[in-house]
Amino acid sequence: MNDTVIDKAPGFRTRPFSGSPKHYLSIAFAIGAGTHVWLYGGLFIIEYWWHGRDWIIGWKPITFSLLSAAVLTRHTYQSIMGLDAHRGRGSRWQLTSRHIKLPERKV
Amino acid sequence: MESVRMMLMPWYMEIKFIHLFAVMAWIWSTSVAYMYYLVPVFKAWRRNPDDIGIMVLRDWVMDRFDEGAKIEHIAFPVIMVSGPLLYLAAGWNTSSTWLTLKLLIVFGLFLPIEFLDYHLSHLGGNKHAVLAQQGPEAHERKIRQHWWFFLITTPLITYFAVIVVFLAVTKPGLAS
Repeated sequence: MNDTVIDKAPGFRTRPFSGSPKHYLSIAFAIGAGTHVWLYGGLFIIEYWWHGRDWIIGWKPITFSLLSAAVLTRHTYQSIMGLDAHRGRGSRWQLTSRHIKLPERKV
Repeated sequence: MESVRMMLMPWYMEIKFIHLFAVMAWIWSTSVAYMYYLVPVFKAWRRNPDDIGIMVLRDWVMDRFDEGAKIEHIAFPVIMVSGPLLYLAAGWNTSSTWLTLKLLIVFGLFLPIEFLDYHLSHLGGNKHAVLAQQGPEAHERKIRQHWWFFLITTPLITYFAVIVVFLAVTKPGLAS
């Protein structure tokens, strides 16, 4: 592959990536809510139903779960937007044109 | 079960050592490659999606990353075996709330993520094999699938890995 000179990428390679900020926001909300429904729900079943402990329905665990879900939602959105180069860090990298050969395993 | 516990109990600290060592390898083994090789080149590709040179480099880094993930993916089964052994050896049960929460995170979030990661890195999604067997179009599809995987799992892993280690080390009394 390295010795091959390719002038133009074939269509399937330049097809736009399917992610978009709108997608990422929906994903962030789904992750924030989904994970905490799983964790709070799991703890509720084990603590309240199984062990009969009612601390899990108190205001502290509920508030903490809601706060944690909000923090994770924000963290997820910021992380995806940053990784996918829509914002944030990355400006200290520059593109330098070089002719190189990359080591690859034999097929 | 009690006889198994009695058999494992003298080995508790040794099993704990193996467990912690594997957790360290699982969490950190790919971090430098991810932060300083994979992410910069993928960002460059997302900013310059038509640049063939960046695509070649992206494919190479992805191929190397698939290989490098072997350390993480050897460590994970070690964690999943040594963890239950610790559970048995120490006589833990579901009355320890911190442990219940930790296990919900490990089995409900990390395990499915790792199953998908095994597929993408070493099985049907391995980019080197896909390129050789199915051609460049399928290879490009797998690269993009893997990028989706990274986008979605990175915030989950960074958030919950810290929580899991915190719970394991401090063993907080959550129910008080």
